Amino acid sequence: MELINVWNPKGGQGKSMISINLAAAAVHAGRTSVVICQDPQGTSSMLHQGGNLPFRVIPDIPDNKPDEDLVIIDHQASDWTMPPGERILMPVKPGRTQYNVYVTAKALAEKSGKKIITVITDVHNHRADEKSVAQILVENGALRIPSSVVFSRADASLVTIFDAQLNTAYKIRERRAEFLKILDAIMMA
Amino acid sequence: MNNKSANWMESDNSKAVEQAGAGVMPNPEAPQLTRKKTREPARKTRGLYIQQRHFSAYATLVSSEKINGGKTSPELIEQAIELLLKEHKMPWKKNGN
Repeated sequence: MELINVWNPKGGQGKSMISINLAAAAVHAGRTSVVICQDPQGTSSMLHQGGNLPFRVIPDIPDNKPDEDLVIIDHQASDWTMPPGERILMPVKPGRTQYNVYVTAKALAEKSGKKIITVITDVHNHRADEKSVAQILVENGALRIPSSVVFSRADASLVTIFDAQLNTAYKIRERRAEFLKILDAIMMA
Repeated sequence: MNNKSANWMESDNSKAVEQAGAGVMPNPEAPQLTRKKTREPARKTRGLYIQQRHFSAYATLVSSEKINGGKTSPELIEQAIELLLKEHKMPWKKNGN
């Protein structure tokens, strides 16, 4: 069993979006996955209630070890408590205030001995400042998920980007490949 | 590349490392999210070979407690066992496995 925490105290960075699509990427790659939705907003839980996810979403860490290959904990915003386990995936948008919270939390996590995988989300390439921040982070080892209409489409239908109904969506192969790359990074961390 | 971004990123990085070293939150006066610390102990269903009248009386007690917002069925059984152990002067640890 591999455990990954999707954590960033800053809200709206894409924690639930990444948790759900990462779980779907694992299933696409032939593994089993489960998302533990620790957010009172219940975004991951809501997606699960849509009935189209090929994995479980549960509300809390179970007493018994889950059977799934990949366990993803979707943390809530404003949560500065250090997550359990070794690995933390930190999504961050390339804005200044978002970066500030991310780098503060990352420093605390690294001080606690955690391994951090940074994923830059929602990058708009036509915005020069965002593009440059994203470029610097990628040069320092971060992975990247650009802004894309497929995420809105998936959200509206309560599915993941790996769902068959999005097979013909614009640049869907690239978006899926990015999540599979994140999955590989987690497995190798 | 936009050097203006690189400059503020560097200063934010340095400040973050400094804050982490000092164990200081960015806004320490703000209320902190707290997680509930207590978890229910692990339990398992186990069989008891008892008379129907004992079980019926117990079931009535459980219903009454439920209506009045009292103890749960496992808590009542545990209380009964603890009272028995006390009566028979057997050792019992309040917390633990």
